[in-house]
Amino acid sequence: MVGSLYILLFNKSIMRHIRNILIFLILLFILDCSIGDLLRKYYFKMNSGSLAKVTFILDKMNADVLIIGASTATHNYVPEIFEESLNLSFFNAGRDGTGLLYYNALISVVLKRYTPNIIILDLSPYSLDKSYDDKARASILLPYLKGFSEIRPFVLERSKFEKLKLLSHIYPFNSLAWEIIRHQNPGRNVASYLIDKGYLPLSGEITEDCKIPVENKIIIDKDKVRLFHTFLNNVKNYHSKLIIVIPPYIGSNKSHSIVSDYIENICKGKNVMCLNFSNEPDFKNSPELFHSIGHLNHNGAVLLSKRIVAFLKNRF
Amino acid sequence: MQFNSFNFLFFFPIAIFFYYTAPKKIRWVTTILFSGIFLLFGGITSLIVLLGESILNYYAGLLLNKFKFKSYRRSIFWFVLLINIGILAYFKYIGFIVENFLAMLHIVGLSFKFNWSSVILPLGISFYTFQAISYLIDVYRGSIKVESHFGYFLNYMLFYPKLIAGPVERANTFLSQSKKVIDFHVINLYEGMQRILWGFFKKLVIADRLAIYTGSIFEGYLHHNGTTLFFGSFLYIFQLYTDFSGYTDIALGISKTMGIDLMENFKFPLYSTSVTEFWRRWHISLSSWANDYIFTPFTLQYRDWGRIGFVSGLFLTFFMIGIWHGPTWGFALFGTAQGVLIIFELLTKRFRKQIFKIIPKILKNFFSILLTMLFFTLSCVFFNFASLEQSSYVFTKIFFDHGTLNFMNQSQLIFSIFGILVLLFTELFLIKRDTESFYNPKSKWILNIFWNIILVILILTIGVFDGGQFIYFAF
Repeated sequence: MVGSLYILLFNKSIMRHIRNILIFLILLFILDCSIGDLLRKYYFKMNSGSLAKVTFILDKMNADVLIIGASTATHNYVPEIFEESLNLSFFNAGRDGTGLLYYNALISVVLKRYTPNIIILDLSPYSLDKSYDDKARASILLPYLKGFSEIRPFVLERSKFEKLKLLSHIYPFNSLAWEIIRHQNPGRNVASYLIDKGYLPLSGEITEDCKIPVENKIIIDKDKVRLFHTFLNNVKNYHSKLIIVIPPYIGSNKSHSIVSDYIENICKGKNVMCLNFSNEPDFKNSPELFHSIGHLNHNGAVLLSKRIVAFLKNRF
Repeated sequence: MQFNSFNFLFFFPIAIFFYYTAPKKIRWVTTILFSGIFLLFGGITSLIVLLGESILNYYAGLLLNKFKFKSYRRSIFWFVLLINIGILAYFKYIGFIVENFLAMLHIVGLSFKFNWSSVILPLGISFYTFQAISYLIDVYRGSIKVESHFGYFLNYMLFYPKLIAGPVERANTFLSQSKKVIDFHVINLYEGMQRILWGFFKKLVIADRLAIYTGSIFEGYLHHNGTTLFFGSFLYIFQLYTDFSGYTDIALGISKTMGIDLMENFKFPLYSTSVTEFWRRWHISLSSWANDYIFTPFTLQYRDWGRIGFVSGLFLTFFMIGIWHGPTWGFALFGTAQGVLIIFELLTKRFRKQIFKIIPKILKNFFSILLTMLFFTLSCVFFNFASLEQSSYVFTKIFFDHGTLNFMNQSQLIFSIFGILVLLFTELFLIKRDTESFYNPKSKWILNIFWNIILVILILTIGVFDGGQFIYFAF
């Protein structure tokens, strides 16, 4: 009898713990789904800020001339110069800190929707560097996974556990809560990226400290090279004119020149146009055109834009 | 392998499963095996060095137990102690020693060129070497019985939850627990998991979030004014605390799931009302180690020196604590600064008591906590910046170039402050309950469940998933 009572008590204890675990998991699932869906709803209601710009690019943007790249793209291409000279609509889809993972995802979605006349990929040699962590910044793609299946293979490259993390509805919106709250502007008429066409000018000239760079050796990441090839092949399947632009760079880094040449050779092999401004004397000898070692100020951006436009007019 | 990696999420349940399903008498074998796998992620050198030290100190203990002649025992003890210190010095301090020796020669007019390639620091060496030394000293003194079973001793040295960043566990408390046959108790699992979850919250939501924010300030420190640098330094103490105590919570939680209670390493240090109290609550395993094996023997040996002996002991102890963190003059200054303040507090105790009599207790506590945090903020400038040149630059800025605070990235700051507030209120709650553990069998089960869910949701919403390693792994 004592034995049976003990077994009963023991079982009750186990049952209680199982009950607690089940309640925990069920409540967690419910809250995860509810909060995740709420964040999703308000994420796509944002009508300003850089996140809303990404939504616009993936969903609606249909410019004839499209710029893709990282910060050098965002700050180096002046919309008015392209639009006025080429008589084509223009949009700068550059985003700071992004890399080939992001560019591939972006172009996959855009090309499925429409075919831009001209695509310019602004590619710094540092984009191929092993130490350049673009996987973290590619997290910006997570909210779009549900709506755009094309980006899935690129999102899953972020980490081998991405599929596990994506079981959570909240995870795609990790760290975005404040931005989502901040950019709910029901009264706002036109988002800033529609006015500035995605271009963010930099002011000021390079300071004395930045003129002498540290010699960083660029170690080429073969995964990034693979992604570069994927990008080139993807665009080739459509009828856009693709130009790779290696942006101006005022530093003196042997590694930088070597990798620039490497990018040029890849483009040659694929029969893709490549404009290499990394050692261009007009920029190399003009520090007044630079905001920092790798970024032009507005004056520099104007010059670069004019040079590219002249090339495009000549070529097409 | 880091606790905040997905590899560990798979490793841990497998390790626990094998721990409890293995025959009880050889459970230590599974722990050693999994600890070895855990350490192998840090490279084979780490494993070899640790095994080497374990074998050395195990046999040293046996010899000390075997030989009764004082002179033999003394010789064995000092010989092995010096080897332990030598191993640590080689891997951690040799570059610093060589550099400073050459600098001293240069001052006296002798110039030598010596190319020294830095040695890779084996993971956790500072922690397990101190563990080994404490075992050696305790056996030599006769405070503990020698451990004759190599497996148990190896388990003590290799035990993976505390392996890489402590606590610096004492042999007697660990061995007595690990040798017991521990049955599976759901309560241990539950309490352990809750502690682990709290550790992950501290690490992912607060520490890694603050690391992004303070990193953006300190990386560009040349471009910021003193106010911004001070603000960054102030937030850095929260980052340091939540990073290290978060690791400790995870370590203690993992051990708890195995039925082993490691020593508490933190007792709410942010609420300390003096630097003396702070060091009784911060990195307790290290400060108590330093007290038992440096300060107390030194002051006993030189008790005839009176107050000078006591003060010298404090200086030495905190200098060693500073140096333990790393081979730079910055860390030495960090440690020395703690010693100076503690001496100041001791010497002015009566005077301060008289002053504080006229102030209401709540105000006194508030200002005391603020002053303690202010001191630690400033001393952590040495901790944070590698070179003295950088530290002095930052101090100059803080004291002489104020300016407007640059808030930098708004969302990082807001998330960080939110996390800090959750931390502070939770700790106040735990202080009131006089425990470091959340688990309370008397509280309603549904409340426990809700608290755990809130932590998970906060981790998913504002945790940093691609954050760096724990700060104290570097020591």
